[in-house]
Amino acid sequence: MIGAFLISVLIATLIIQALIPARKMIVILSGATVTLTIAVTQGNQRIWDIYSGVPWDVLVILLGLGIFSSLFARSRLFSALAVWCSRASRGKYLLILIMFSSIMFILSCTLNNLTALLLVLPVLLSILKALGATQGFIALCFSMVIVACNLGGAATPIGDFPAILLMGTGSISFVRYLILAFPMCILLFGVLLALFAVYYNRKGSEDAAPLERSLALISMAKLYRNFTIDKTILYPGIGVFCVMFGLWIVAGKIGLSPGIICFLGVGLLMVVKNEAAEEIVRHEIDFESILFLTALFLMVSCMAGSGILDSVAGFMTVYFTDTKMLVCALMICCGISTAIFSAGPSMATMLPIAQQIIAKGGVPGETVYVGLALSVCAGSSFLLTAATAGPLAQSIVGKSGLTTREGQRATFDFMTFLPFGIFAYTIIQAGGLVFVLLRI
Amino acid sequence: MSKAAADSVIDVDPEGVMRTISALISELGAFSAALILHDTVYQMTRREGAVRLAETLAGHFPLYGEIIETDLSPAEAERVIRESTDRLSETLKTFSSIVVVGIESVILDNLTRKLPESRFYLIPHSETLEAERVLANFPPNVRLIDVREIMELGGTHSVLLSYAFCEMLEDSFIYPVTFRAVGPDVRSSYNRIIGLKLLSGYNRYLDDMAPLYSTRQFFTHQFGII
Repeated sequence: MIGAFLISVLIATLIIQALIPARKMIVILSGATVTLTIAVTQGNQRIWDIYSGVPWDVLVILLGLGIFSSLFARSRLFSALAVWCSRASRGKYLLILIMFSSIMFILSCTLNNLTALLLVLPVLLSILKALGATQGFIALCFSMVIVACNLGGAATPIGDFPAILLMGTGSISFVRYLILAFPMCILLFGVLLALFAVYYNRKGSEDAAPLERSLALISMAKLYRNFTIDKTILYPGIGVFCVMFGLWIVAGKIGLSPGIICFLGVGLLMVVKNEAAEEIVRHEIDFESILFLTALFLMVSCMAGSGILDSVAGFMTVYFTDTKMLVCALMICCGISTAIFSAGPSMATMLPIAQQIIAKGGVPGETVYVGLALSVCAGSSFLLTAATAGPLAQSIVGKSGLTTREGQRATFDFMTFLPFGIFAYTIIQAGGLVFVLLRI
Repeated sequence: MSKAAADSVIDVDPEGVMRTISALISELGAFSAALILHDTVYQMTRREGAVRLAETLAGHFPLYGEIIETDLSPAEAERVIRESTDRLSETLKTFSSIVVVGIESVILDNLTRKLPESRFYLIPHSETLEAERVLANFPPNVRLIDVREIMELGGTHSVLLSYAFCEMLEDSFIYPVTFRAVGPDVRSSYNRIIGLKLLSGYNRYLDDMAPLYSTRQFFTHQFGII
């Protein structure tokens, strides 16, 4: 009874925060307060048990990687890479699509994709503005960039929240996740990019005139004429990152948790670049996300303590007697709930259910976890509002005053993304299901 | 390049060219953008194509036509500007604060590096620029400021610079921001308000395109750049 009430509060909270994103912090904190109060007073749960159910390692990794991304961003590496992409594209639309999507995929594999977007999109906007792209190409290009961010985030255990949650909770090791998820994400990225390129060619879009192309490339070179990478940040950053990467690979053998490794690495970099780090910690850390996820984890911990998640897992096991059907149902639920509630709430809720199903036996845990991560990636690519990268890209394009070749204001919003989102969701979700079915 | 090939290069929509260089005009300056356009077109079509493109763009970007009228190749124009800027830096080295109304990167890139001890305060001539990107291209002694801050930077160690395009007798074309920035109150705050003369003399293209202002209305001194 208490469990059913707690799950109702969680669902209501998630729906309300999705409907009123401007008040999502108040909504989630209120939901957490109600859940905690009921769990402690009516459900006889001890507050320390609830706290111990929160995956603190995940929050530490998110915080650490956020600081690392901000510090790395100051080296101007992202902007330099984006400028290089512009030059290498030779002003050809198809190459712009391929280069910028690829760079976003690579950056999102290791760093916060919001930071990467903030620094790469202005360069992409500048080259598109100079070339006078059509509305169709602008929608296609930005949609592919968003999908590339999501796939890059799912490709490694440190790329995005769902993967960090899997690693941080000890559900899967760093190496196993990398071995299973990375090739799948690369494959799905390649398939989607190829299909988007075919779509672009079918639309018969023409490149800009030779003079406009030359001018656009020279414009980019001049606008970033004295942009230099700050090697005093870049080199220590790469060095520390390589050490962290190495330690994550052998984390199990040396007995260090991924969170501690992240803390050690970021701490070391902060000591080296103390002035910049102080400024970042004071002004640039995304405490809002950390607080949001903490409240969410507290709610999920209360639910887990009430035993309701066991009941849900038991119900699913009874209803879907075939293991393959059970895992597929779980993955599709995860994808759809991510599209509606976003990756954090969806994965935080689905993971304990998945753990219960795996604990009952007969299901290969690692395969299911990676399948879930791919489903979250599919759901994040479904609607523009499903992942934080979408609204950010929409806002940046809106503020940029980008115009189309026809001189009209370019748009990139929920509806322009939707057809590409549905397509990307279908491909990624199908890819995830095939991956799981082949391995069970 | 054959005539047919040159024709295909300069057979462009003037509005398309303007859209392509709009960010350059905003962040590097109209004159600097015109020089970049000159350089690009010159490399592709030599002088003949440049002259014909100047006619095509006459109604949209007359400053480009004025540069073509000087008959200087891009390399020659660059050399003349570099020499003038070197002389200008000698004139300005006694000032600790240099306030510049409008950005012309072909001049400021050189000047800000020649005078590392001076602080440069740039007032952009356009509102559509990415301040962070503009600043990242200059050394650390450069800041962007709003036109409203111009008064408090005045004094005996400060000098104010702006641009006078295509001066003829006492009239010239200026950036609209110069018109807003240099009023009687500002003239009393600065010892020197120097007009950097760009393309002075004959103006065939600009003549009918924009209002003229008396140079004497704005500048206490003038300095010829090109």
